[in-house]
Amino acid sequence: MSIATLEPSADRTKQSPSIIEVRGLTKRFGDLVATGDVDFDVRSGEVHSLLGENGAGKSTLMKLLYGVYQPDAGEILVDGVVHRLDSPADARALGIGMVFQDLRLIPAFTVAENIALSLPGGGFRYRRQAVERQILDAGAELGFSVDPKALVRHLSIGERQRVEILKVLMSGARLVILDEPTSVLAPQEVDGLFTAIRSLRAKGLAVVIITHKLHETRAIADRLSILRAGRMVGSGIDPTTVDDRALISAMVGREVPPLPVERSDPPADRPAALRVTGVHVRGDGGNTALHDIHLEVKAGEVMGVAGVAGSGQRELYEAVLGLRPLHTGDIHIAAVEMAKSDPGAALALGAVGIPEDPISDAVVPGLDVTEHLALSNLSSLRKGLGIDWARARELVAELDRQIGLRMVAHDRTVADLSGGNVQRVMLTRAFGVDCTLLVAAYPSRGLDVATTRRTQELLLAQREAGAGVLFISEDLDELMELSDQIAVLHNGHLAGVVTPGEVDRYAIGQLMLGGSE
Amino acid sequence: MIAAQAATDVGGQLLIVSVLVGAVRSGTSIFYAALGETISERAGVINVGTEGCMLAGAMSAYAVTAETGNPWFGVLGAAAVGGALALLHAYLVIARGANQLANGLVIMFLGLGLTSLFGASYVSREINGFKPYAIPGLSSIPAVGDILFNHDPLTYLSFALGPAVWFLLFRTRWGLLLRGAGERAPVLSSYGYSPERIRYIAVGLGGLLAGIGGAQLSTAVALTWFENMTQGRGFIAVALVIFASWHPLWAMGGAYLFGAALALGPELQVRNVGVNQFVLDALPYVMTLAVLVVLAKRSFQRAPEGLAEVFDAPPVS
Ligand SMILES: Nc1ncnc2c1ncn2[C@@H]1O[C@H](COP(=O)(O)OP(=O)(O)O)[C@@H](O)[C@H]1O
Ligand SMILES: [Mg+2]
Repeated sequence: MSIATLEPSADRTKQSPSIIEVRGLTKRFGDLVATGDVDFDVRSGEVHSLLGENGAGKSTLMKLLYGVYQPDAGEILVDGVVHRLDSPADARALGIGMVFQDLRLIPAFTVAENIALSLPGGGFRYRRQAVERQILDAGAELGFSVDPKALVRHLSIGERQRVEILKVLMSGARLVILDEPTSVLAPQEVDGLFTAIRSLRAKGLAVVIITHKLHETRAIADRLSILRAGRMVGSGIDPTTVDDRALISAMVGREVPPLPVERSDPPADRPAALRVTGVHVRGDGGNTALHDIHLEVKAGEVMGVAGVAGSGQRELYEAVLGLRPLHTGDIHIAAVEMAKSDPGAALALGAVGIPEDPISDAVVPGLDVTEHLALSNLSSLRKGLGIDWARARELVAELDRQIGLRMVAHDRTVADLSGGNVQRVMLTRAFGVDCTLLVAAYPSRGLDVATTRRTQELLLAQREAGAGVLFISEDLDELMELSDQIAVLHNGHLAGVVTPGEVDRYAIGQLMLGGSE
Repeated sequence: MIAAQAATDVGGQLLIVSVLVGAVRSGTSIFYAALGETISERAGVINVGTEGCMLAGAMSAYAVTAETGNPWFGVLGAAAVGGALALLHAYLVIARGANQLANGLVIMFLGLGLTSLFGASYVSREINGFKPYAIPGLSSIPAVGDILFNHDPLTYLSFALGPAVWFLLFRTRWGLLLRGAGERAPVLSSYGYSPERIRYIAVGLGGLLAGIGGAQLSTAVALTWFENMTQGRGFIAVALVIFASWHPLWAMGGAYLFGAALALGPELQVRNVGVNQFVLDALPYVMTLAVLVVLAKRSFQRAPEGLAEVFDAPPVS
């Protein structure tokens, strides 16, 4: 099936009125046409999936609907009437709600305070107990468990996402826009989210969901639309009429190769890349975040790490890379003990990390792409007291070709890039160095299909080169495809280590939820 | 050294009681200013010019009281002038992108200069200012009565204002918005609120309270006006906000602590205790520094996120 045959859907929601419709919507950023002449509509009672490459303009289109940006051309109709959306307040007043890709919460506030802030009206007083009760009720209805009293800064990204979704749903939106909500959720939670979305649909609400995962689109969407480079290449399509290959080539504009199946055995004579012995680690709140962890990652092996969001993944990442002090226990990298918790020590032993939240953990404001990559290679670029920038630019250009993640122009300031583009820079930096141990936290988060595939190839290439890879992910399919073994975390405990060929994803899910194998 | 006799009474009051009475009397003006600055900083704007707002308030209150004979009109004038000066700060910082710290100093000097100029003719005038009002019954409780229930009306007002501001900040939607503006302004924008507007209001309120603090100093405590009469109380208030972790009730306790340091000197003098005058004068400031040094780390961890921009901002080039 080719793109040309992607036909508009004739499904059951055909008869329901469009809650929102856009015609000829164009938004430019300087010379860049982020969305060009886009037609699109969402009907009440439907779940509409918006697909597209990283940078295709999906977030921009949704921000136009939410009043964050104003279009350069075209019109927006809500309930059939043309509206100007000058600010999110206008959109919210019309019943449009949005969960942003980069979460919009105040870390120093509690969950309840954040949600109270977002709720329209509600009088003069902030009625803490009433809001907390409302949150618990709404959470229960949607199958989310959230602690309304928790400070957001103590929550993991996955938990914050849940708060965001609750926030929009509780503010009474009729159209809920979810910008890549599942990229941070565990499979069980995705199921929970989808259950919630279905109940919203049953109530006649409309949902737009941006996702990269086709099986998710298939599981939830009534119709789908595809953006490529700012253009609608397919609008309002019935998912049952297209296969995955057609969808992917519509999004990417080319075919995506499958992963290599043949893999070499780990060399037996090399010391373990990572050995974690009896490690206890404190969390941000002073609680014990990791309990008595014993884990070994051989050289030339991919050890996956699975777990519900907030099960200790972040603390494990930080402990292994010397970013968080150990309470007890010790960590050996290539059979050398990491003397003290110090990122420099881990680096010196050949450990490289791909952080969970690169924008806040690894981006130096003001530096451009070349400078970021030169940072990790300073000694070889030294020229007198300064840095040989001409050489740095050459090296970065060479690296970009070799790694093949297609970074943006190398003179752009990293802090101004979209999340996906920052991630490409971070991945290029991490994959560009030879390492003993690669610790990758959600490396493909927010990436499109083609880039995700390339990232997976690069992870396996590190494995083939003899590095031990600790691979933290929320995507069970990806974990099972790439890992030699999977360590499952539950509530800070190591619930088990399984071999993907020998168990199915439900068994892993069981461990993630705290049951036995 | 404080001799044993110092602990005995003068005019029927123990030293400790006298110092505590003085703590509330002298601490109240600082408390007003610190309360105002708490509101301002909670919304993300530091006003180092609080000293200038206090001075402007002290002088306006004095002048208006002298002209009208009614200190309440003086308070209104002080609030208006202090608020206006702070709004100028807000405008330059928010709309013109001025550096908050540098601009605050400008506001301080502006307050100092203007009050020297317009206040000159009031230096030797006498006014009919606020008088202590002993609350019947309560004021006759031993010690406590004198410490808490024999004060001027502005002091009583401040007792209510501390908890009121706490309530406003932590128990109202308006407080959530204000604190949100000081934490992450873009989050408020994404709900369609204007963080700028919230900041104008907060900074203006801050200056208004600092102005009333000045009024309390000139028309209730000192009952006189002279150039630069606040003598750094505004700066102490700014430091106090940090020491109090941006919490209004802690600011109240802190203000009385500094008030006590201010009151100690005169009380010792009355009792003829031989302590170096220089040491006594320096005491409140040394205390400010000591407290900041000890508590800085813990306190700064609780700083509104928006304030980090101020401290992290590259120097103006
Ligand atoms: N505020 C902005 N200023 C300039 N360019 C932007 C801005 N927002 C997005 N872009 C650019 O517009 C294009 C579309 O971005 P976006 O809508 O975020 O894509 P998607 O969500 O599909 O990944 C990208 O090339 C991005 O770099
Ligand atoms: Mg996006």
